[in-house]
Amino acid sequence: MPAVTLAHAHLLLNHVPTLGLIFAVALFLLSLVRRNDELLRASLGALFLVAIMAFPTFMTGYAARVAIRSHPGFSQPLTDAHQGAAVMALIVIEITGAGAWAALWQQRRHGFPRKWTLISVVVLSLISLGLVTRAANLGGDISHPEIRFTQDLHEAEAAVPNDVKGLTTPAISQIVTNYRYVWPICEVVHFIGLALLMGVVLVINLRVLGVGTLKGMDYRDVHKLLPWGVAGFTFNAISGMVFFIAQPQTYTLNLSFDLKMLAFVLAGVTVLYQTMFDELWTLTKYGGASRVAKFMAAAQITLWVGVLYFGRMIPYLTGGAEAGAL
Amino acid sequence: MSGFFQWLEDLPLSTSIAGSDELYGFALVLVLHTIGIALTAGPAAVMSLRLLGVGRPFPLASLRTLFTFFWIGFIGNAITGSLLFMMAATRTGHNPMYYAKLVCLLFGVVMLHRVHHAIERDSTQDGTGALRRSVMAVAVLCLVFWAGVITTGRLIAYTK
Repeated sequence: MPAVTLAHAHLLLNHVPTLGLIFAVALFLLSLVRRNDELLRASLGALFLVAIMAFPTFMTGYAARVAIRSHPGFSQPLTDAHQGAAVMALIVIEITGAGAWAALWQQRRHGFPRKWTLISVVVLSLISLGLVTRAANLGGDISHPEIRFTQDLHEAEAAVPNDVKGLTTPAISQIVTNYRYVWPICEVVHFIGLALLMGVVLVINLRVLGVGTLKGMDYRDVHKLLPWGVAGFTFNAISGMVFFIAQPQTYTLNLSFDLKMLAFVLAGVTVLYQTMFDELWTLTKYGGASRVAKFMAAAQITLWVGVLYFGRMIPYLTGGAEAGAL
Repeated sequence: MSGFFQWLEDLPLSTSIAGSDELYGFALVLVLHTIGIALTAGPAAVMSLRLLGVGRPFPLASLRTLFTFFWIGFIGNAITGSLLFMMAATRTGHNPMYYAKLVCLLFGVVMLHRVHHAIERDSTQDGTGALRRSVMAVAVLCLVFWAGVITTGRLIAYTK
């Protein structure tokens, strides 16, 4: 039986930001028209999940690139164009996901999201939809000549949009190489984000687990810390993306990095659980959480420690001999 | 000092960990040091943020448990940090960034001790009372010094 590779994973995952976003945006707009709070919460959760899944979708794209680069008819310019468009889409999808999470948080905090947050999410989600459609279309051009506007490869390569050229791996690698302080600054930002994120993760989840004096906190109050955890995560996401795009050969087909991304996606699901489900929001001072809530809290701590562990092990737990020749 | 650094680096403990290709050698020390950063700087940041008003009105006293996690992380990092230093003593020992980190660490711990003091002395058990400006200044300094520990720590690898 042929092995399932990350290239297969990319073919599977690339439908999440495209179809998932169409579904989430439609649900979101419907919830606004119907003024339905439950639908709104579900659609914001869906937008957040799409944003989480967009990371592994983007990153497995490099493995797909490695897999097809020796195929006849492989086009470097078309692949670069798809990557540039994907970077652009990823950035806006992540901002949209952050906005969706902020709206969910405000709904919990104030009973309803702020008007400006919702307007921002509407605008950002529509832009995301446009950008991801273009990235998907350019991705299709790589392996499906039948859907290109022209069957002539050179003509198709010449028509690559200019705005995506600055976001390709060589362009970003060049910036990191030319400005030698970029990498160390990103390292500092990555670790400060890590500390902030882990501090908030510990407090919130140890409260749910009922550890020591932390049990004296009302969940509604402790949850006010979460935007700081999200700020830490944002630092990590931005700096992490710079590392990845500048040196994909270090991360692509690396076992430790794959496990890090898996732990990251699962940790994102536990964060969504703690924001969306009602149960924890009734947790008052010295109140005990349910077994499910405790399981999710323990899982979240474990998963973030896993993200940290596998992140640090990237140079040591390697795999995939082809990666070096990206 | 160069002779001392060389002696540290040549110790069997230093050479065996530095030369180990196994996952429980150098890589494990590095991982444990990173987890230690999360356990020290993370709680320090949360406690400082609470003193600055974030998360009000949860009671300051409820944060006491975090000090246990902080000290576990701190002792762990003192051990792993010493091992990391021993493995590269001749290089790190001559790097001013390393000493900048130690200074930030010293002031970070002093500020956290002041934060601890403020939490223990908090008389407003419901967490609604306003805190003095001096306490808030301590919280800001605590954040600055712990950010400094991380910054200088990361830059050791990029400076001489």
